[in-house]
Amino acid sequence: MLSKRRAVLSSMKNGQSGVILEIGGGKGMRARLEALGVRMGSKIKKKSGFFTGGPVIVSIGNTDVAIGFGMASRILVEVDPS
Amino acid sequence: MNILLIGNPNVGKSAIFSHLTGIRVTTSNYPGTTVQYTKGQMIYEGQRYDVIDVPGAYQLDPKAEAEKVAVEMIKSGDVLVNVVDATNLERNLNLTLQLMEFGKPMILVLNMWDDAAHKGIKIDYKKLEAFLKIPVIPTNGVTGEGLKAVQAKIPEANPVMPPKMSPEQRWETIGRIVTEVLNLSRRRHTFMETLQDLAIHPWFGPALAVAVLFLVFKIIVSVGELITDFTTGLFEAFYAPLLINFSGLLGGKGLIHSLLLGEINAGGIDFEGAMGVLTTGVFVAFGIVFPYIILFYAFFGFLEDLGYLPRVAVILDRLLHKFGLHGYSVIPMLLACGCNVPGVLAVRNLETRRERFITAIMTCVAIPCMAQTALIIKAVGAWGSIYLAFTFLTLFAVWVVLGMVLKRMVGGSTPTLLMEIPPYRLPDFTLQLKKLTMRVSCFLKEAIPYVLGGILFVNLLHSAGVIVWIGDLFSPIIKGVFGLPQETVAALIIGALRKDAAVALLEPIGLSAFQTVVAVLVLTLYFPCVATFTVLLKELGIGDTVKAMAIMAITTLIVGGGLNLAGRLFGAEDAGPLLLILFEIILIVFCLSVAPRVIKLKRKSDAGNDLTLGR
Repeated sequence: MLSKRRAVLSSMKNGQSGVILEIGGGKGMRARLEALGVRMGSKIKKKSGFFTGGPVIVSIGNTDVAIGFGMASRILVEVDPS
Repeated sequence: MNILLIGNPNVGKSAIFSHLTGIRVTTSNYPGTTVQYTKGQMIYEGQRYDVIDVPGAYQLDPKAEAEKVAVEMIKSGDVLVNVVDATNLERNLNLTLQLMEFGKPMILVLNMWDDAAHKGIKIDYKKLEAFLKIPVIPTNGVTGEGLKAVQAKIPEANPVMPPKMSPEQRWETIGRIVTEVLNLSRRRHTFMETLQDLAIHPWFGPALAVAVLFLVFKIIVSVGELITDFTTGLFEAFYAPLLINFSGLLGGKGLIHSLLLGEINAGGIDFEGAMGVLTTGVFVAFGIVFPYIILFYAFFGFLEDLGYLPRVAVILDRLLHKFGLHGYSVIPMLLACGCNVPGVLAVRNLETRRERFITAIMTCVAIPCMAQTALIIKAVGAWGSIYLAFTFLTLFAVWVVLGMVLKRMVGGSTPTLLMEIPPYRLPDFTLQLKKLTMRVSCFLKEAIPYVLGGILFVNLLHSAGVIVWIGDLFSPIIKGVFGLPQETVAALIIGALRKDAAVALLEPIGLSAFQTVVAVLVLTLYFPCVATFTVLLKELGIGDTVKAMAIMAITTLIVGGGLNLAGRLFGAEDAGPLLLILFEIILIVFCLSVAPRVIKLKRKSDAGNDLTLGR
């Protein structure tokens, strides 16, 4: 807990990577995210985020996924120290 | 025997389908190209098989319409061919394991095998075969490599032992498989990937999108004008003499003459004003609309196969949230710029009724198809580019205001955007050419009968005196509200059949510049063409279609009436249109930036409960 930092996906900086700790929101939303490979324990890298309220783009494995802001603010990530 | 092609969206099922059956279906590079299943036949060693291209699904617990279709199809299938994107093995295997639970004979196709190799991904497919106990075959859906092997495996596929796993166990299994069979080698960031990242860059991305859309529009307009000037010349040089001879044969007058040729004299033919089936009808279809259709789909096909569309969806996500939609809705809307029919069909990919309703209405009301745009460019453009800008800006303003109003009118929630962004793939030239040919021939088959039949129909109504009668009936609206001459009614009648033919009918009326703009806008807004109406009815159902019609009628009255009034107040020339353009720009800016804030201020109190996950 000393060297690592937690942040929601939407507030991470572009280029930061980390591991997903927790996904909030309903079961349906979690299932949709999971089907795209966004689940607890996934290693992700934030590629781009649009100005306040815009979607966040993360890369997971070889896929890029665009996640709407509302959803991205419910995904908690353990950010890798840079 | 039934063979189902199933897999995640955008893994190349349709490309494989085309190779197996010889039937061309639309393929492109964004998730959700196929919304309806397509059936075709494959003959292998004298045996006949039905091959079905099932819309893509990430999982089998369906929310979207398209995924629901997939589940129903699987139950009726004899052999499942699971198409997997080799560059995304881990995620794709999730569906594979779910499919195995059906216990049907199954084959796994590792598509985009060469793409994976380029990306430094090595898959030991023999090992994968041993793990899953089903045949695994690497393929390339674009070239058709490996598909012979797939065909050979189909007759000998055996039912699989269904694995029963919880979602957690499933991902665990996948994890184990992937570490065993997958081998990634590090490599440099490619030039293509740099381009990919630029397209979704927070500020460069939007700038690029505006530049691309503007440039494509500009090129279509200017090249289109050049080509139509050329085709007009051809028609006058080679087609006109033929028709003049024909006119002589008919004796230069009579019912048949006026139906087929309209008003022509021996000196030459005014192709736009003659109003005969063989004169104006043929000219509008082949001389004007046809070149624009080719131009549009050449550009659109390229952007589609490159993979640019999902990136536009990401960039416009925030804008579309103001209309109760999210970014994906831009894909049906862009499709509609070519033709509204595939646009409305693509609405199916959206999850909620609210999104489908709003997107369908915004599309049908404010987005003119390319055939109509071609005629707008011709009719309005003749008065100068300021009127052309005025026309399209008005449509944009209608689009924005309609979206804002619909968001508040239509109840329900809108899920946030969640979409895979595929990598850029350089479009294959022959595939592009085939796709273009398919779309253009589709236009020829569906549009030509309507254009020619429509003009014939209106000519018949004219000679029967029906047009005058209907014109008298609607004269209070047409004259009183829109400030248009009564003859416009003929165009409005045909507008329900075909928009391009309708705009062409405005030509001989002799409208002023301002009236032309009003007439063109009324034609766009009041009703979709009959083909679009049919799919709208199918996709939305009767109730929502009736509501849609009411919205269209109200929008038409407000816009047509408003412009007519404004034209009288500010003058219909010079300063008037300029003032209105200025007003529309202010309206758009107000709607997009100021209005939502005013509304938000009122709701500020309950906005705090929005985050379930705090820190």
